Amino acid sequence: MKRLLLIMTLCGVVLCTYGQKKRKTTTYNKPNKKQNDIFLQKQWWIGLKAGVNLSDPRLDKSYAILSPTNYEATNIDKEYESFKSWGKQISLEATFYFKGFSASIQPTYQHTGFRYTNHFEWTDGSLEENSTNQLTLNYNQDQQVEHFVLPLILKYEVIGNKIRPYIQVGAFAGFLLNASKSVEVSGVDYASGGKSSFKEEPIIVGAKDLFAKTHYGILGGAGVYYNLGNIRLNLDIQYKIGMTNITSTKNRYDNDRLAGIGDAMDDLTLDNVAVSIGTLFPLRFLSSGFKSLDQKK
Amino acid sequence: MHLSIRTIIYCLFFIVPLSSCLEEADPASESEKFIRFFDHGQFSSSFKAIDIIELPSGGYLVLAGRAIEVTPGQVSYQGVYLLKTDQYGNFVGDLNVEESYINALPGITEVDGKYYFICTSTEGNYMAQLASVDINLEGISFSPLGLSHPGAVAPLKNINKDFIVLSYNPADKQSVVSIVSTSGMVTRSASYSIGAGNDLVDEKIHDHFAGTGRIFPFQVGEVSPGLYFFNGFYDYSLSLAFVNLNESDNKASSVIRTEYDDVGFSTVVPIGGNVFATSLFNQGDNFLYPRTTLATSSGESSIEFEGAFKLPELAPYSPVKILRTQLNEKNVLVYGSNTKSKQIGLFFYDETTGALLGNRYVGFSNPFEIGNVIKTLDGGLAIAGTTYIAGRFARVTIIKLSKDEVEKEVK
Repeated sequence: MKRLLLIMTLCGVVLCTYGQKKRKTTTYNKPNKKQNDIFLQKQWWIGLKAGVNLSDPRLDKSYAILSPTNYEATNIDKEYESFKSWGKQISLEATFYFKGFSASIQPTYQHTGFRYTNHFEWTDGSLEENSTNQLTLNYNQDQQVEHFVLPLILKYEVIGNKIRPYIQVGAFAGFLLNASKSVEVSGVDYASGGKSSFKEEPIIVGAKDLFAKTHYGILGGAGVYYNLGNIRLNLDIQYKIGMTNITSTKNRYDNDRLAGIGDAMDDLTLDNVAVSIGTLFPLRFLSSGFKSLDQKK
Repeated sequence: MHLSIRTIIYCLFFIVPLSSCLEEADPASESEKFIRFFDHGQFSSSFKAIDIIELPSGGYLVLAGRAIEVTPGQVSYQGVYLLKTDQYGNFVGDLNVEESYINALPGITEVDGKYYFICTSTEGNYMAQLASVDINLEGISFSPLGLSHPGAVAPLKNINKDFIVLSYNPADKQSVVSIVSTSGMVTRSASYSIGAGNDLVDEKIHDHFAGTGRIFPFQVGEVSPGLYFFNGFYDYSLSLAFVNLNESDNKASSVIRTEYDDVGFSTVVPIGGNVFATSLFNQGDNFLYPRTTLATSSGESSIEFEGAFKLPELAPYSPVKILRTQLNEKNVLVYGSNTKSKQIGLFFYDETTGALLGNRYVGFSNPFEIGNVIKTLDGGLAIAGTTYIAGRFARVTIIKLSKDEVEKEVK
């Protein structure tokens, strides 16, 4: 995480330097409206934003270590929770604006979480018929995944001056940084002479090998800029649609502890909705008295 | 604007190559490596893997025992259970063999599209039955062999594709070695005394078959055409005897004596000539002896432990399986056994030198026990075993290791 923040900071410095290098020395700050209008057709913005996200894992192909011989495999299918585990993200944003349209690259550290549950049952009959020979187990499996996400986004600023809403579309590539899994086993055991509910200590394992090193997808969203002097405050909502598998097909059974309890990751794509707030700074003509926003509106 | 276009082009150049690194499910790799637990939803059911064979289609057939409750709460017999999977280890079908057939022996063998194994009938005196079943687990049939208490079986490499069977004759207190055809005919047989008046051994053998006593590592096999061996009771001890089935005096051609049943061989695999790969036990301690020379032709000798590797991590009296195979262009012996930590240990030895090449432990979280290990058509290994789901439900498991990960062990 520290290394990633360092990289992102360096990226920011490089972009800032690049933006300053391109700055020309003409004095657009003179009250020449026509020149200002031409000038304001282009702008570089750089900034930082951060926020929270929720994920929705979508099943492509199910895998299981337990293979039932006398009951339906669907009885033990994983049940995924949608948009219930909070994650967080922090992005560096570099945006080039031209006549209402913007191209933006937003290197992001993204932490996502998603959960699924399994239910297993062994019995010699119904509880009423055979009260002692019954065991139920519930597995609650929590995945925490960290990615470096590199989105390329096109924005269109719809209308407005001080408050400028926009819509956006783009594509992204995600690079795995780290992952962990926590499995909590609970259940009810009737076999010890009475009903005994239990909850075991969670099994927590590093699970980086169980996830794909890279994945990509597309995104869409909307947001709003609030121009405050020369800076922009930004509220941004992005919905990312994962297009490729986020789990490792090669290492599906490689974690002995998880395989031992019968867990294998499915092939999944991950949708994600992220809400961020941030600040953007213009890189062209940061001099006193100059307003970076479109003055004609 | 030029800068913006350039940036976009750079990004596209950056992103497009990433697609080559993406994780796509590859059906071929999914058959190379997997783990399966074959679960049965009945609380009181219990299954224990005995042997595994790969099917021509790439699937697997597992021979297993299943607990048969004769009286409520008391398991009296190990019934016979067959389970078929596809090449990915997915359950295809199973066969619960009728309860009058029990105690299947390791050594399931394919002959002309049929799968043969030995079990016993509950009627009579544990009478041996040669069972055969087709690839779809249909049309199972049984041929009585007229042999009682069968303890071990192995396929012969002769033209008739016969079997060699070790059994026990309780009436005469003799270990019996027989050649059996696929039609169930005993074509040759020879008997060897366990020792006159040896009632104690007789009782132990009975307990072995009843499942109420210690399970002995009975074994039988072929050293070379006309020379056979059996690991069984002979002359008051659990000995390794070499026989040619022509002896007229109930005496083995050569025998390696042990100390009653406290010391002995747990597995013997002929390598060539007088050279064998073996494993031994001594009061519960386990020793692996990947390359040893044994006197096969004459006289008596004593079991030797010098040069054997003691493996304290193995469970006392653990069954040991030895697979002769080629890995990474080397002749390798793969030893498989159960550890005290309830895992399956695999130990890879160079067949030529007897040197250890690597080891690997499989199974975690739940207890695991070995059934057998085989080399698969794709160059990997398949281990059939028993796992105890939730620490209590004995179920068949298949652990498939890919060629790559196996070959890493023998670099």
